[in-house]
Amino acid sequence: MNDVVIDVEGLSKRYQLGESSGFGLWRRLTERNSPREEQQFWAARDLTFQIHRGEAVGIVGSNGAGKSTLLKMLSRVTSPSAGRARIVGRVGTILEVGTGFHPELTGRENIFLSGAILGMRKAEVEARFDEIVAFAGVDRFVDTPVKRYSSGMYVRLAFAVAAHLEPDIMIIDEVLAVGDIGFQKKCLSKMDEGVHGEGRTVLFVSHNLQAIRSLCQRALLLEDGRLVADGAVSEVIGQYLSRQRTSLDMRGRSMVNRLNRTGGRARFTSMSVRDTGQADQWTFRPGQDITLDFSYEAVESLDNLGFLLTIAAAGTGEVITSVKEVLSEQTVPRGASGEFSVSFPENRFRPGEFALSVCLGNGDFSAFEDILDSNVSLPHLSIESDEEDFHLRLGFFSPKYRFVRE
Amino acid sequence: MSHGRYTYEIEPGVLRGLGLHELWHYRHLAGLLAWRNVRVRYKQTLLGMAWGILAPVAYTLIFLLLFRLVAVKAAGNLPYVPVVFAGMVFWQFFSRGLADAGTSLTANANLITKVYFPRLVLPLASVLSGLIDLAIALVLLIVLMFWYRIAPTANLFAAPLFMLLGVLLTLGGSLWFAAMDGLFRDLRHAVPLLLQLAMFVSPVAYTTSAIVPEHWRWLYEWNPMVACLEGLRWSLFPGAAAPTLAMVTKALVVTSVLLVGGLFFFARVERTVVDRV
Repeated sequence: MNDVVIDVEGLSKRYQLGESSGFGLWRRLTERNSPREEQQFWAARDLTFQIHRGEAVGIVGSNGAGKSTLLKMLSRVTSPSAGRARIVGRVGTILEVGTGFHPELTGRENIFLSGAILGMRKAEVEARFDEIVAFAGVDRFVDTPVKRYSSGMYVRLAFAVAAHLEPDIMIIDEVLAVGDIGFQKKCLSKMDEGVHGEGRTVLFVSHNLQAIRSLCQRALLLEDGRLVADGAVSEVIGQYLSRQRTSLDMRGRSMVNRLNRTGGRARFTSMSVRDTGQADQWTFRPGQDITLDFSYEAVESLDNLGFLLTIAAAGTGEVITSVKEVLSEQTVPRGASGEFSVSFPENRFRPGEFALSVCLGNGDFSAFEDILDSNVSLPHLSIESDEEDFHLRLGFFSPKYRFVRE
Repeated sequence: MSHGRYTYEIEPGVLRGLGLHELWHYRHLAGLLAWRNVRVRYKQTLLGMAWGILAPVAYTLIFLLLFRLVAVKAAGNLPYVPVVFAGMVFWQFFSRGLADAGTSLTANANLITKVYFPRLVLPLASVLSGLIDLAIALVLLIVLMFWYRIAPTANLFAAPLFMLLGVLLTLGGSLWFAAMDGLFRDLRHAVPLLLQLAMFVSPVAYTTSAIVPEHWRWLYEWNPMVACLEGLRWSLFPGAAAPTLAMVTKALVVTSVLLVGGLFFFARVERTVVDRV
């Protein structure tokens, strides 16, 4: 019996960078002289692998490695630019929590609507309705519009619908990042039940390496759109972590991208993260010291030099704080180099993913000389905690505060 | 265990059929989305679904006043109010269907970028939700006809056929609009204007026989709404002019071209629309 349920061969996806207009003709007329090739970006390049029935496969890789693009192609949300894939079986996709939920509709109505959008038949939703409501723990609010739900309730109900899909192949993108720890564990065990109990095939993307380790036997590692490792989960995660070195050699890394956006008269040569003591080097716990070390060199002579660090919520891109310091008030001669570090003693971040952007520029930052951010594959800083209280995981910072009870 | 039914191939840029078979599989979703559209549209409104009939009522009053002022018998010898209200009800269905279905791909961008289902479900659901509004307005039309003591003849049995023509026309037009709106957003600015103009070149506020000069009718009849509206009037009101064979043939030609062309164009665009919305 041929047991291959997902057969992928040379699957690739190309995106056009920049504003796209609908008319191919118009584009050709207006951009006759610009080289089209340079505006293309391969989000996935020549992916080839096979997945057998009943396998649970984790997909790991840093941001922008093409994980989500791969899942979107396999779930038919977007079509590939080249290559082919053959899928045998009913596919259920969860690329986000709450697909198809409408705030004005009640919990009951949303269960039916979201269920249908995810591909469940009416009879299937009816059969599992009570189970879904019980799993989410929202029985008292099932006839209340979900816009009145707390965000925790909303997420639980949305995930409950998705978790009760019973397709042959389940495709799941980073959805466990939301919700409280207790509920996350419940979801993982529900998924585990599907894989080990019912022989379901699962493709699972997550930054939560622990979740991938416990659910999957096999993992794929993507880097810059290419498949660089495929094998036993512990081996592949090991490779992923060793590639994600704490010390990043910045010489020559993504130089085109960096020079496109900046003056390039000074540049970072390395960046490293210290004081982790954990396997995943860009991952910290609240209260740990975080130290970022940088070294730079002046490519040309500069009047002065400044440093700027912004920290943004990875989900929304909203900057939540920044650090700005002067590296030199005086002229920096050509070829000069230097080192500096930024520390956050006993960091006060709340659990989540943070996008760093580090820049060199002149003293008042009217001119940028170099930028390192997620566009040049700078990893996210992630803060993980065992805090189970959902309310204490909200937001970005734990401020110092005093509580007085008279 | 056989999965033959669910095996599918993922390939770039190949148009493999219109996916109508798959659409049938998702008919339940189309119904649910149509119901969602109606439900959400009238949530937290005081008048609720009454808004569905207020627009044709208001337009009917406006035109009643207008044609009184200029003293034109715009409906010939037929009672003006029910005749024009009937036209308005169907025009509302048509124009609302085009406007809603025309933006359905972009309005549901959050869905189509996250989960696969045949994209045809979206414009279809918009047209279906228009039918729910239409049903409510039809109740008022029946009341009006009682009030004016208009007893339909056996022609009434032809009404569903002309309604079907109207639904197919709306669907055909909205497939083009929806697909084009996915490509570039210029159209959404033009559609309301075009629909306003189109209302005046369709026998909505008047009947063809009362207003349109005989020697222009050959051209006028290429507007497929003409056969649809005149056909409906003929089936509802005794004494209304019957649609001519030429009129119906032209409407059938235009509607089939719109519908079949629209299905192909939509199928072509839906493959890449996700990367654009």
